[in-house]
Amino acid sequence: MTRVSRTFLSQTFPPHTFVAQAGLLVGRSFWPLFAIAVIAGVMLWGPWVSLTITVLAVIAAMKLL
Amino acid sequence: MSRDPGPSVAASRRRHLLADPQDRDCVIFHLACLAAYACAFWLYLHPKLAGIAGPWSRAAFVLATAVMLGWISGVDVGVNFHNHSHRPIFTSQFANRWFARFWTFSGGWPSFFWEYCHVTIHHARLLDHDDWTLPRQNADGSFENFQRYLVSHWPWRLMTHLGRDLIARRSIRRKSLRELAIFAALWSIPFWIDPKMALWLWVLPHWIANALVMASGMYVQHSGCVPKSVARPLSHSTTFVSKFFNLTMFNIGFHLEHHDHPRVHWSLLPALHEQLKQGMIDGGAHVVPYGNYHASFLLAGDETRRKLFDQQALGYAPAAPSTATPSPSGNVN
Repeated sequence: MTRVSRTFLSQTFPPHTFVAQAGLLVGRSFWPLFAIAVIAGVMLWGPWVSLTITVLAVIAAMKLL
Repeated sequence: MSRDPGPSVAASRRRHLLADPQDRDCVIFHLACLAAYACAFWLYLHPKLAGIAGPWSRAAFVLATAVMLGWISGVDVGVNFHNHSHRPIFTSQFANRWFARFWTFSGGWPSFFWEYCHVTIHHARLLDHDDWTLPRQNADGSFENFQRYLVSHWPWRLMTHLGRDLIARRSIRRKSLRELAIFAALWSIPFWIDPKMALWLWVLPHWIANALVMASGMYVQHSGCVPKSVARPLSHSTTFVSKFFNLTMFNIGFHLEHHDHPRVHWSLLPALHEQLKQGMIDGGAHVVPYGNYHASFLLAGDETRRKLFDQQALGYAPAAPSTATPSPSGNVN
């Protein structure tokens, strides 16, 4: 199995460019960042819009993810 | 299998805080979750600023916030901390122990208890009758009803089993009680700030995280599966290959691979999947093109909807017909 892990490391993972690494970071933290946006967004657009976004996100996850 | 950088690189890593550079994203994920809680608490305590001074607007805020906090806490503990329980993310034991305590309290768990459930019970006894982390099995081997498992598992069944296993056993009683005390001290913090806020934005999200997010994940990952055997070595878990799901869920979709190789770092699971792909196809592994959430939607439905869960992802058609065992949806073939 060690040989397999060395094969991985010699290929494209982990990404070496800054953009690729930043993209991975944002992608992996997508849900908490999305949650912060929905929660803090209450100050901008009010609680009803945040509730609507939450309901739509749950439905979208159930249907697509 | 693990990253095996050799002795010289391993020696240089001892100087680093993180065991693997990719684990930086685990830390950031957890800190973002804590920031989300802090933001929610602050807004709740400043209702005029947030425009939630009225009862209905406050109810809308609480509902939206509790769902979002529960969702991310379920992922933070059930996926993110889960990876740490297999491969600690820090090189320092002290950092691992204390970060773990500050990791799971925001998901309603003492870290030691969660590790015990997952590693000592679930991984070691996968799908055996004494794997009490999974749904109970019917006489035909299929899982109990989806909704019944979600409602009854956390915290009711878990408390019973953990009380029996941890508190009653002398060898780990002292450690269990110490961890429970540390957890109680941390978990009570929001109650000291505002008890009503703690109920809505702390307890309710933790119920959502455990009963809806983590329990549904456990259900779909092993529904219709059978214990590992020589005859059925690849039928103990389902693999979920949705790219977006795995990107945002630390590759937890590669669940069959994870159970067979629990020490493989989470970031290497997609590559491991590619290595094992042909063997999985030949061995009749159950692979679906979506993630846990859509699987939960299917398995929570009627018989017609549950049968859709049996369908394989494109390119993963089994080489040979399966024998008469429960299908992934729980239907007996």
